[in-house]
Amino acid sequence: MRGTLVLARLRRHPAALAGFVTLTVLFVLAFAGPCAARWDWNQIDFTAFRRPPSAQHWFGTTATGRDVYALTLRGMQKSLVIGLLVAVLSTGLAALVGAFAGYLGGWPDRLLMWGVDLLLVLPSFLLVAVLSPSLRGTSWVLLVLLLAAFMWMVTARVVRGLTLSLREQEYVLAARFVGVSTPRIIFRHILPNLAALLIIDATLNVSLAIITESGLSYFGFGVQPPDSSLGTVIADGAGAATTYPWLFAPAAALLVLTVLAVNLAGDGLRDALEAQ
Amino acid sequence: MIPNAREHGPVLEVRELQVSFGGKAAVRGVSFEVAAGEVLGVVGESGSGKSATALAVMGLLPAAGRAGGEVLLRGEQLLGRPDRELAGVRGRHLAMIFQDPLSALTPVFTIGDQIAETVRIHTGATARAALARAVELLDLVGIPAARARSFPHELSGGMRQRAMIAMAIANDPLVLIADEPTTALDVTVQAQILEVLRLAREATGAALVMITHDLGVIAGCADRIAVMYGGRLVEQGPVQDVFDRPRHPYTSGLLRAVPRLDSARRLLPIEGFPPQRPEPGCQFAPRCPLVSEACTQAEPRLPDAPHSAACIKPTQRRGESEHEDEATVVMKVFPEPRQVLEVRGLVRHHRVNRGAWVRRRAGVVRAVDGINLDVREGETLGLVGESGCGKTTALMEILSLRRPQDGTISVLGQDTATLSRRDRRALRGEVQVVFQNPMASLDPRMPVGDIIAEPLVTHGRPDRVGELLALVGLDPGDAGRYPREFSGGQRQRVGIARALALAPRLIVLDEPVSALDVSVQAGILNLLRDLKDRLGLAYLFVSHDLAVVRQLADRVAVMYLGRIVETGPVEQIYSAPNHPYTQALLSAAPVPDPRAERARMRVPLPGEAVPVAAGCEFRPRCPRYIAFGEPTVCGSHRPDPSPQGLACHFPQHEFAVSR
Amino acid sequence: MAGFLVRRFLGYLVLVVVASGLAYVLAASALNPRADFEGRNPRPADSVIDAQLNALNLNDRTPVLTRLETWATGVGHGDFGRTWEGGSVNAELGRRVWVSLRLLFFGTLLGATAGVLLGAYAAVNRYRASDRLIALASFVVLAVPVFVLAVLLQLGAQSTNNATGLPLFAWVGEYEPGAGLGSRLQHLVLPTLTIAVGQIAIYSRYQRSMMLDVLEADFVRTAMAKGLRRRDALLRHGLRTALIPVTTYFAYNFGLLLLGAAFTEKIFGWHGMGEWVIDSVGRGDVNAVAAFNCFAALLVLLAGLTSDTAQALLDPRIRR
Repeated sequence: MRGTLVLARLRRHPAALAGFVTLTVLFVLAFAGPCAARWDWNQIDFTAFRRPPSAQHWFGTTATGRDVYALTLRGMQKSLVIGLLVAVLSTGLAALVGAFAGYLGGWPDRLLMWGVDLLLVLPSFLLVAVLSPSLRGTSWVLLVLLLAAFMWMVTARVVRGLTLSLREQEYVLAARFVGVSTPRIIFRHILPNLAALLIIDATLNVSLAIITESGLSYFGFGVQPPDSSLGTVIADGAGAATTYPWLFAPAAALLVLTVLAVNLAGDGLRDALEAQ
Repeated sequence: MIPNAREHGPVLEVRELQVSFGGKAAVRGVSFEVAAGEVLGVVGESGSGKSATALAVMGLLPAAGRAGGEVLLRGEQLLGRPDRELAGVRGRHLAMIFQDPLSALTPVFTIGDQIAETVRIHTGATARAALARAVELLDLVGIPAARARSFPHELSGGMRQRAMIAMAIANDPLVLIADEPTTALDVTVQAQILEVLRLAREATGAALVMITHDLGVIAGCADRIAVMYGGRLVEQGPVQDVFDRPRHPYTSGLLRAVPRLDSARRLLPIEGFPPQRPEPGCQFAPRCPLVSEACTQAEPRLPDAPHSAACIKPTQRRGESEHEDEATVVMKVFPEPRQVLEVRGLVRHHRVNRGAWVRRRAGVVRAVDGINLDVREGETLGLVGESGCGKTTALMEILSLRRPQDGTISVLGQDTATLSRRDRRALRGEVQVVFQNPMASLDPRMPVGDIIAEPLVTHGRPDRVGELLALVGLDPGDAGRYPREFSGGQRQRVGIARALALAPRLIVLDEPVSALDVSVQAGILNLLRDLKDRLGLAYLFVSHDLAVVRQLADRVAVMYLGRIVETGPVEQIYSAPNHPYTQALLSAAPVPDPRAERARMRVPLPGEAVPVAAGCEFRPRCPRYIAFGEPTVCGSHRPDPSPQGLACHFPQHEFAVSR
Repeated sequence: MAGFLVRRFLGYLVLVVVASGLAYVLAASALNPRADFEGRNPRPADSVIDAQLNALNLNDRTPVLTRLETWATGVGHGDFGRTWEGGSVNAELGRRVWVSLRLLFFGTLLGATAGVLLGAYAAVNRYRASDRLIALASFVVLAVPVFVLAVLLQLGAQSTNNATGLPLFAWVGEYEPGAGLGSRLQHLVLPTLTIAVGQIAIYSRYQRSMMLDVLEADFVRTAMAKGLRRRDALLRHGLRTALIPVTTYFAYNFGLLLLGAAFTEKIFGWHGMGEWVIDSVGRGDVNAVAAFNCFAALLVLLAGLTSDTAQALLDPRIRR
């Protein structure tokens, strides 16, 4: 019943609906789109260097004769997957740390929150950049873990704050006085009641993760060649954006569209969930 | 503004007022009037539309609200005027006092500035002159001049409400509207605020529209009353008439459902709950004991008469008399009742620490400062006190079943300080709790069946959710529904079912009815009483409301600033209180009976509860200490409780003799 | 209030010291300056490389904690060590800090002020066309990463210059050699906008939602009941109160702002701290990276203090 209510609210929110639809289309494009192309992302067309869009190469080709359409979609796959994984991991971590710190209080709380503050003071982007060369040659999953490790702090603080007030809620006290264990109270009473916030936050973290990843990759610290993400594709094309716009425009447009769609969807979800 | 002011007749007339929020009607054709100097009491339960009426009159409805009909101030229509014109009327001719003075005052400005602003908006006075006037006004409502520079959070609830009143009367308004002005306050402070309101009214000659759910407050101060139900007025008339001869079944039902200080007779609840949205016919019909087929066909109108009711067969009988024979105070005598809870010298002090790295002790709050409590099998101990007296802290200490800072807590003969983990867990099944707020006490994400099952699952007991639901008067088929689908009273029943799940011996009731409407409250109190008789439960019943405690308690303990000042059987405490604080509490609690209320001798209590360094904590407010006018033992020694549980150097009997 | 701020300052200071040390350890163990020396042609002897690395306190064969100690001792005396080329980090720092601060200061000032005003305006006109337009614009801006925005602004500036035939905008470096203040200002416009636009979008969203919370607040209603018109009640009582949570947000947001500024410097060829650190990470220049860490941590501390001070000034409830 609650689910239908949320759906009904979302439907009244045209921007959010547009966000969700766009996001679906982008996903389909990223994962099914390459099948429709004539060129694979790692193939080189020795007859076409830096050619504008044509029937042969829909988005044109790069200086080394690679198909921009295939490259861009390949990059988008990576960006979407990384964005989703980072968001889920960092929100999950934030939920656990925040809820335990807030519920337990005392020294565990002080310790955890001091750690959070420390990570907030550290220039996280720089640390990822510093650490990423040592990831070279390893899986991009490590990059996901690294990104997630530096993205959960603000959410954790918010979760902790809300847990502090939930902890004094009478239904939590009632469970405690019945003898329900601490982890069980957190997983059965506290986290479900923060679900709306966590879902919204995870959504917004998707866009933050995509932007951060592409920023890192743009400066050569993120996804490493031969792999590509939207960031690397944009970096390759940005220098010549005025003369060869097709190298830059498709990837930039898709990146902006993805983040916009995620943000609109998240905003709509917030309205629908928080109106409860 | 308001040029052709009429000299006589009503200052404020409301005709056929309609208010809706997003298409949902909240007020449906309400008409009333007040004359200068008159007090109109508007009574209603939550959702009756009384606050929406007040806001519509002020032109302060939230964005989603729409109002129709007429609001005439000295004959001039206010409804539909642009914000610019209304702003000239509000705060000048028409002023309002809100319920919660903490959220109603801007947190970032001093109260002096906020009052001065009211003066400046309408008079164009200089900043200095306005501030001088603000100080004058503060003096009128009993706030010292130095306090003008205080921010709202630095003041107590009572002080804030005084400041709010000062702000409302700053420009000598024609009409004052007070929306539940004392609901957020303690009973002794409520008495002070009602007195300030009376002074303010005398100083300005304004008409007062007093909106409240509290029949006792209305009985004490209103000239005429209007009863609201389901967005309409169902009865209106002179206050004495309406209390003596209520004509609408809802009014008479309300009067029979409200607990009274002066009697412990069984309450008669109004069945069901108020309508969520307007139904065809009389709104009260689904709950009315006298309902007939004609009631559901057309909505009756309120006739134009000095005392009238919107009912097709208004009753003429007395509301009270016919039920007085129903008194069912049965003093049960148990052979050697077993001690369920024994608390001795319980202490809970909170340290107040300052400092970021080196934490220094900055002070100690003596939340609970050595209290003794005894609850025997099948007995109800009422623990009474105002907010901040430490009663909730004491409860939490008992419920945690841990070793207290000092003193002992024994449950069923077991000292909680010596319990092993497993024993403590087992003992939790014997002590359960019902909380105050039926909204917050049930996890909104769980079906009520799961909520009630949680204790059973935790302790590995067999499932008996259906049985428990039936026990508290709910339909066992409702186990799959979520808390939000239930009304406040039903939710409280779910909370009681959860408390009963493990078949405890002792149930701690923390203000179990104070968040409920009067008509629903009675049903819960009766349920608690019946469950006690059927299951032989013991209750520790905590409340600030003396009338409610009287309904259930066998014995009463009165708490003030962390200490028990008086203990005794309920009859003795209510009829012959010894401690001056108990006396003041009883005298401040309003009685829903205009004649009795106005004839009562009051022991007004000055100030608010503030701890003192030495001596009796109650001394700064104590009428006896003030009457002595000279240093006594009260200033140097804390009175220890006598064997009878009385902590006063000059209890009533001795005091009477010494005078 | 002073006591409160001093306490907060001490708390932050401990954080900054620990964070700088930690960042040094991470950078010193992850970056590999030796590879660069080894890659020289002709390849120097190992003993020569070791000697050079030792001189710079960059030798990965020295235990990292020993290097930390050397570095920290230096920093304690106000010496941030040598760059990878042997130059003084302090000298480089002195040149670059002001470049970055200028950009950050103007970007933040413009971003926060315009954002707060726009957000408040949007909230008061909730659900009207202007509100929706502002919302849409900020959503689009928030979706555009700095490095794309910078390129787009450059493209736009170029076409403006072309269309008008005047060199209205300039975007390479900080100034034309030999030109005066006007040139500096001209060069300041695009990078500042790059930073500010994103900040405006963020603050307008945040301020809008804070303002919506007070729109129906009891005290705004009281202010209207006193005789203030809705707009005045919102401005005098609502905005002031709704600003308080935004100050906290300022501190949280500052890290993100630093990052955007680093990108901006790099893209616009400003020789600031951000450009330096991005280049240094690529070169494995540990001391330069560590110096930037200190700079960043210190700025975050300042942002935190600014936010605390603003909060204490705005909110009497936390003054003690």
